[in-house]
Amino acid sequence: MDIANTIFRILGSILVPIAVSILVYLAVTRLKPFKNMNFFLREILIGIVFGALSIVGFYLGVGIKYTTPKGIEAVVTFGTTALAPYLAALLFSYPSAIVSAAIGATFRGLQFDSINIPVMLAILFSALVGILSKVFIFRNKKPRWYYACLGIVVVECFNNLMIFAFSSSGYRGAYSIVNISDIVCVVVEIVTIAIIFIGINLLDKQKFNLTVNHIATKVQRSLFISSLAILICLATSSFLIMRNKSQSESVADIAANCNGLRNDADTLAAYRLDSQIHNLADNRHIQTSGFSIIVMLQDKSSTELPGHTDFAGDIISCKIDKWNEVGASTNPPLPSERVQFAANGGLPIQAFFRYISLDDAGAITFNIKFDNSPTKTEYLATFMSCTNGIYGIMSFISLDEISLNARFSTRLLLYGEIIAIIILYAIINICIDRIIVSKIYRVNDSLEKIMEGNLDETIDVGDTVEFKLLSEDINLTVGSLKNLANEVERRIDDELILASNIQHSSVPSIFPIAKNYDIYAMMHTAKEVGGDFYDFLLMSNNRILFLIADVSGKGISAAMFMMRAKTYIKSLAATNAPLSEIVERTNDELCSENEPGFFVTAWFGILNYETGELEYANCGHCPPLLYINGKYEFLTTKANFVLAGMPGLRIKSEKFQLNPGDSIMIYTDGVTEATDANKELFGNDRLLASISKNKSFTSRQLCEMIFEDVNKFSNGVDQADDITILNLRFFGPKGEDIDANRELELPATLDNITIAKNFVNSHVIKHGGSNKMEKETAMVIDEVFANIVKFAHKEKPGTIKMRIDIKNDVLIISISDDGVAYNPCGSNASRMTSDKEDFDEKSISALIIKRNVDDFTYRRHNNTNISVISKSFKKNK
Amino acid sequence: MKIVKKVNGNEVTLALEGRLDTSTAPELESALSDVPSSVKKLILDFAKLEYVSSAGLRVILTAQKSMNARAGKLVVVKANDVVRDVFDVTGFSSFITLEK
Repeated sequence: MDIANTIFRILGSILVPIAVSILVYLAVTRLKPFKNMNFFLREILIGIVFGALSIVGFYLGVGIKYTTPKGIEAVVTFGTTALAPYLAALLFSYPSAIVSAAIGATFRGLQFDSINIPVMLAILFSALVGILSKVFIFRNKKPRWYYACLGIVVVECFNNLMIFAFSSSGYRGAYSIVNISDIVCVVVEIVTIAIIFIGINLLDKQKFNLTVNHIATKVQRSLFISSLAILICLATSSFLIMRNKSQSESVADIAANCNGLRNDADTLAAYRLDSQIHNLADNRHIQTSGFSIIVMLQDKSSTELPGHTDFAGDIISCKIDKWNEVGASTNPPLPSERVQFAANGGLPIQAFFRYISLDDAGAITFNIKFDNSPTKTEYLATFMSCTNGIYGIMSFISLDEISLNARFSTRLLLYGEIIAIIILYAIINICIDRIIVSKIYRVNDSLEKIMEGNLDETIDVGDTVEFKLLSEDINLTVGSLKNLANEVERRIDDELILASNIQHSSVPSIFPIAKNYDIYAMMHTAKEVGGDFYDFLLMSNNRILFLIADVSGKGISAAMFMMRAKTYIKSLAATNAPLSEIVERTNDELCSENEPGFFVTAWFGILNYETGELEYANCGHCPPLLYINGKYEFLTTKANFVLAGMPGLRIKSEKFQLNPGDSIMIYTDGVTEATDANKELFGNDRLLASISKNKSFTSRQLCEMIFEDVNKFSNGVDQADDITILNLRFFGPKGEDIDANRELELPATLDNITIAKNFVNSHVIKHGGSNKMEKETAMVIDEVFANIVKFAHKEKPGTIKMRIDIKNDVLIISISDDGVAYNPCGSNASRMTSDKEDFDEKSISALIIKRNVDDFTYRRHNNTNISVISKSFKKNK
Repeated sequence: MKIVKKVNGNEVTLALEGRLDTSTAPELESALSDVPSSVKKLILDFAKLEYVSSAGLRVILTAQKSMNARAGKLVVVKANDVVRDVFDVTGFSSFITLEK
């Protein structure tokens, strides 16, 4: 064998597929014309290239010599022809694999030698293995190189099995062909695949698909080790058993052969045909590489042993080993140890034979190796001398021949086992993935969702007993978690609601109806428990003390502190002490036992509702809104320090004079610091605008209007702070001038409906109307006003005038407008009968109006619509 | 008017506080438009609603029609006497489900 040539071919078999694969891969994934090509067209082109690669693999193959059954020496080319379709399948897709396999197989099939059919089948099988692996195991992604190599090992084992099964080279020839080349071929292909896949990984800079995950890896490791152990044990033991069997069979065989020859020789001798005796050897062959020689022991002339290359001339120079006897013998002529005949330069043949002959007609077997043998073959030999000692017979069979069977069978076994194990791996991998791992990932996904807070997520991976149990257990656990969470939430909610109730019930909700003033307050707490409070109480000398306070902090402890503050103030106010004293002593009391370090902002006022004198003190609180001289403005003064901050505080109070009709509104910073969705604050400007534009007539209406505006502003955003408002209107000793407010003129817009309602209801309230009367009146005004705006002033804006009279306990509302002729209660008041009808607003409106008034009249006069509504106080209690 | 929204699976509850009249009806309308079409039951809690005017009724009717169209249900709960009266007088109580 030409070493250099072989090395060249092996290198070529490695480098050419690498180059072709990487170039084609780059071309297909990077170049535009290929990327945009039709899938099948591209695959066919790739297939043609790889088909050519398979053909090149053949031409780069190495020639292996073997002996045909007829004894002729022949050569086959063994190359990496099956690699190309496999690569095509893994790197690209099934059509290219099929095309390249077709081209490669056809070509190889037409190269008529003894292995063309097996290799052709292997090429087709290679494409199949590649396609199946890609689809089922590697999930259409490129695998790691070591997994790709497993596939080609399967293909090569298959290739060699096919050679054993189908080649026409015979049993011995097939063995010779695969003997070394199978390992070499597999190694070459593994190296090629490794370089290609690692290279592509680097080019793509992407992580390969983890086709085998960790559970499977663990399983496979144990599987691999145990399979390897089993493989080795099986192979070794079967090899040894078969070889021993062959050996004893062969011993018996050559002994029989010797015997047969001896009988023949004896017969010839009996017929005095001695000269024919040594021809006998040529007539008997044990096996292809076995032979016999017969030597005339008495012949003094040297005898050549023609025809056997292991003998050089007539000198036998050899080593003998494993000497043993077969048959009876009394005098072993030689010691049973290694005997070497080379030391003396060898012995002539007859001398050698005499040397090892026996007196009796026994047989000796031994292992013999001839020094001059060009092949260095070791033989098993049996020597027999004939009955008269004239000649000796020796039969040889090579040890290789004996173990050939064993080696052949072992190799066969190995190929089969390797294929079986690898297929087993693949199946186990798929099973583990489908049955176990993918389910585990699904469970993980669900658990993630649960961790993010979605406790309604359920897990269902239960088509096997174990997973069903797992699913059920997890779902039960999550279920009880959910229940627990709900429990806790409910308990917290309950406590908060309780605390909120306490807080709300500790501020006055009943407001006195007095001649000289009108007071109302509203509190809305954030997150149920807050620290705001308001209070008012009557003191001596026609004075009313009113205050608002904001305890820092929230929660139950702030509410408790608030209650303490309120109690101190109340008890101190009852002593009718001066304002500053009340506040100072309250401060001192709050400072003691203030472990949490709360502080309180507060605003105190004492109004003499006869004289209108207002004395007030501000402790760090926001400035009140004062209505004097017909407009609103902030009452800004220098504030005292906050309460409960430090004891011994000196409080400075101030005085102010209110006139009848003036009012004052105090509030907490929850109002001005209310936020909307854009985190903007309501602010002082908006508060001033709100209180100024909303003409309101009672303290309650004013508080409600401010609240509405704040709500509209925050528009659903949860407020972080309590919102509290208290409003006090001063009328003076004469009481409220009702007549001053009997008439109202408003632009005819929908925005003014609330003002219109409040106007009317302020009279209802003043006259002591019931809640029911208020609501019904509000409804009526809503309908009437809205109708006038929508229909009488649809095209042209205008004004609406309202006038209130109360006669004989009957409320009379006159509404007039300067729009087109229109009766706000004019249409047929017909009810709806089903929700399939269209909504007739005029009808429905008329129904509501008629229902809630005692009388409605309409007339048109001087281009004015005039409606008069009357509603009795008595009837609508 | 204050509207408090509570979602319970396929059910949405809107609790109204204040009055449902010409100025506040648009607020309810906007809250209703936020309710997704997957909701099968819409509950209007009128416990804290003082009264309702025709503008409010119009919005309620639209909501009822829209729930009908998706095979859903609209229920009005805890309406006070004044509101019930309006529903009766206008014939709305014959097709709007009122519950205590």
